[in-house]
Amino acid sequence: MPNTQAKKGSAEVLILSLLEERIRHGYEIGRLIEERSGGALRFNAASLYPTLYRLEDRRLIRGRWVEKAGQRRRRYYRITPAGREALAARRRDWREFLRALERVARLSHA
Amino acid sequence: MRDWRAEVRGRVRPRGRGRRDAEAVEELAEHLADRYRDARDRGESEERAVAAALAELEPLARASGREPRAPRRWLMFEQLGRDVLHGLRLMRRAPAFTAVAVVTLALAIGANTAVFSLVNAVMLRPLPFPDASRLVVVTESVPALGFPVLPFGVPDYEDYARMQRSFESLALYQNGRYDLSGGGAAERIDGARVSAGLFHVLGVAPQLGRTFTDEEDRPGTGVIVISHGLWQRRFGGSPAALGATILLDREPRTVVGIMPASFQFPLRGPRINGDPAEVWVPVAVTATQRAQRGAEYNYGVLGRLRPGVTTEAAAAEAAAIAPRIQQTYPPALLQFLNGSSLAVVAMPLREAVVGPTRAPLLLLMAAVSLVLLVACANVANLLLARGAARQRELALRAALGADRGRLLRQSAAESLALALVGGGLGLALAEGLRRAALLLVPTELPLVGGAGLDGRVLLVTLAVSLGSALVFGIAPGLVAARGSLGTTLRQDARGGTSRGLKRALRGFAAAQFAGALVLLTAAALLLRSFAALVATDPGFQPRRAIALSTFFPERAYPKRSDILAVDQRLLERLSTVAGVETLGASTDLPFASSERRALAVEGGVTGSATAPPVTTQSWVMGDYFRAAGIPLRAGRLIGPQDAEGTAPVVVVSESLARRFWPGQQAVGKRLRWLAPTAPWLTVVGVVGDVKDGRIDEEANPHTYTPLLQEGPREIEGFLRSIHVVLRARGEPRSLLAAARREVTAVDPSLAVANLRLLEQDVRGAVASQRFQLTLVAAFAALGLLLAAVGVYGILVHFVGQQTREIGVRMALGARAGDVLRGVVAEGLRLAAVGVAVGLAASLAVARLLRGMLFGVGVYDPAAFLAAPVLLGLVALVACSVPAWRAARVDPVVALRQE
Repeated sequence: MPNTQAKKGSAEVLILSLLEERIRHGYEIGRLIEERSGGALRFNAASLYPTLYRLEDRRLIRGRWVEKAGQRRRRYYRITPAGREALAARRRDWREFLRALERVARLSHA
Repeated sequence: MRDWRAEVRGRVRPRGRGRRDAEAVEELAEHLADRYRDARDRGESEERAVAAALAELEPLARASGREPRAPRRWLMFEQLGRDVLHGLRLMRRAPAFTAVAVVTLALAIGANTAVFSLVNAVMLRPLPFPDASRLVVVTESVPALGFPVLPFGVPDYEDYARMQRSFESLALYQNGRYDLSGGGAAERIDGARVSAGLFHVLGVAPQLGRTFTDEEDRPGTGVIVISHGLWQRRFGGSPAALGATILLDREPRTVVGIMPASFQFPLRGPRINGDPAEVWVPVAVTATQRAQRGAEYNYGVLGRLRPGVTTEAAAAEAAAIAPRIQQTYPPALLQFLNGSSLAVVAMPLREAVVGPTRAPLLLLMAAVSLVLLVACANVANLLLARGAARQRELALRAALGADRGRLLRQSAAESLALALVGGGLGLALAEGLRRAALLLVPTELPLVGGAGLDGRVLLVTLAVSLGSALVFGIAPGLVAARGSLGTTLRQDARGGTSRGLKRALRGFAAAQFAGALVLLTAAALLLRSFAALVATDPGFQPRRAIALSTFFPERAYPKRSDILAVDQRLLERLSTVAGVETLGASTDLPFASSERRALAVEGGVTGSATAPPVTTQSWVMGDYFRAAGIPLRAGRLIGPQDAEGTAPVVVVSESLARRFWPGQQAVGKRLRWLAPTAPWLTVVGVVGDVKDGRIDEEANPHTYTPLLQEGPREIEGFLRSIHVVLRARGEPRSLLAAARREVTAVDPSLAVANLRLLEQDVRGAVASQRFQLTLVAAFAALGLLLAAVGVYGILVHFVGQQTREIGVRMALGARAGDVLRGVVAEGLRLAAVGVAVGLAASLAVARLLRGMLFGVGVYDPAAFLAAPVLLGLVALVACSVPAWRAARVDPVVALRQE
């Protein structure tokens, strides 16, 4: 269930949260999500990159090609100030929403 | 080292992509390389590592619609087959969507085809005669006297025929109604007296037998040519009909020819001499007719132009001949012309027949085209909304290598499939609609019998279908093809609706409302006009009255005394019918009075000098005014005291009294016909005005004189037909059968024609307006329905897209009422934009209706108010269902939906 439904809605928050820590490239983002969720959430290229591009389109993150000696160039993403604000707002919403869900649907913390 | 870029490209075969797409490929390739390396690092086999990397692309590769390892030789067939089948498969996969789209298109295309088949039959097909463009109608004309079209008089025609050089052949004809008897019950039929040369002018040969010879075109030759229909009806199509004798007005006539089934003449259209005949007899002009200039203007003239002569040249020549004809006029006739001049007018037969119907037909065509546009906007929105649901799939396919041309082709194939299925269904529908329309078509619409689905109609339907596909397929096609990775993958990854798409959806929805509003406004104007027309006082009381017509042929009733005697006997017998309150007879009835006379007023005309001193004249018997319900305003009605030998009297209409004796008592004044020997008639009464021609035109001045006081020449000549009106005490329908019995009792050979409720005449008088109104209102209703379904559809779509957002808002405390209001407001905003645009368009379009409206202005406030209000109400209803659905969104379910 979480792999198919919850992850889509939460993808933006997850990506923004990961980029809040530091800049990362796409593969790293995907791997981290999988690792940190204990394998419950997994994005492959088909679903990850559209989300990244959309966030970039809305100027919440920014991608840039970085070349390191001896390596092929990679595209790294960083969170923008607007992205930090959005993340804060999104966290607030989620918190309120989850609280609302607890009250209404009597969910306890997952 | 594996080339992951090639792997990405190789799998999805990119083509024609920009720099940013190349970057995206590079990024994806990196991703795959990382994945592969991780797998290898974990100790997995080369094979499994590659598979794991490629799995990253799996959903994308699948979505691109191309099997990666399709055998090459099958590729071409596969693509061909897929493009064709793709559209059908999509249609089958979404039956509800397909049904709505196909039905929408079928209705619109069907209505267009049906109306176009009428337009085609009436306006586009050549007239049913060989080389018909050379057929020209010639009339006389005295516009200053109120005769823009004056049928020819015989001496004038003979002068003109002698002087003109434009026509290779010229013929004279006059419509008439005849009693047909012998071998069956007597019936009253339309016929025509025609020159022997008429059939030559028309270029039509009989199917059997022959037409007339010039020698037969004189009085006393008993020959007749009959129509195919009459031949079938009276003779069962037997060849023995040739040479058979039939009685026409009880005179024996020998059938010499039978015309083909397709032959029709005169053609409907012209007000005078415009009734298709079932029999043709020689016009047989008499020596008296040749000699009496100005005695009658009754004849149609038709000519066939010499090769190379234009209608304009013929018209110019006719204009030049007119003064030369006028020079031959005797002083009494010149006095009638009253200083104005005679003109001779030539116009193409097609124009004379079709001209008056052009504006109403074009109105219908415009209305039905608008319906089609609304339908196209509707289907475009359906495709867009569904496309939005598939947008991510399309975007990925386009971006990751699916051939963009192919995507466009598939989208086009889908639109075409819809349009063709809709068009095919529409064609079937059109046949039904056409038959229904033909039932409604007013009899004065010419040539309409030929309306059918011929090659041109089929071609136009095909063109309309393909054109619709183009109109409604463009926007969704662009969405499908707009697939560069740089932009498309940036669209909402959750499959939401992009802002541009939303704008398009809203635009199309508003456009539908605009189109529907234009239709509604037109329908409202026509409705108001029709209501005004129906509310018009025709000047008589048709309720509780019935009418019938009959004719006293010369063979049975040769003399004046015979005719007057049978007239009186007829009225006496009919008065015995149970339930008759009163009855009378007249030579003409309202809406169909044709006898127009120039008159002189004792002491000269003191009223309006510009209006010609012309009146509509009827001869009456019995209690005609009370039977028809024409009110007396002053003096007395014509009564039994106005018998033969008493001082000649006349009853005049109010408008005539006002015109000639403004501010004075008309009763007691005198007038007479403008003819050398006409006696003075004393006005004894004034009655109300009666619509004697068209209901939407002013009543003409009208005079009524007692038939009993008329001289032998008139009575033995053209006063042989009589219309009897019976007023019932109660339900008039019960009188019908008894009335027919009594007429037959007077003389079994008399033909009873047009036995009917007088109310039918009023219905008939507004038939063409009813036809227009019915069709335009139907189209408006269809347009409104489509617009309502359209806005309903996109609101459902929006609500579906926003379910999660609505759920969050409600979880956060928004009340159901707020959500409901929000959705309704969204829908009404679209309606409001549509109304604004539609109103502006309606104001422009309304001017086209000028000339078709009666009693309302083209900017009638009521119509311009009612249409938006109705539209608003319908929009409100259409919005309320999706709004209600949105208000019932369950937050928990909403969250899970994503």
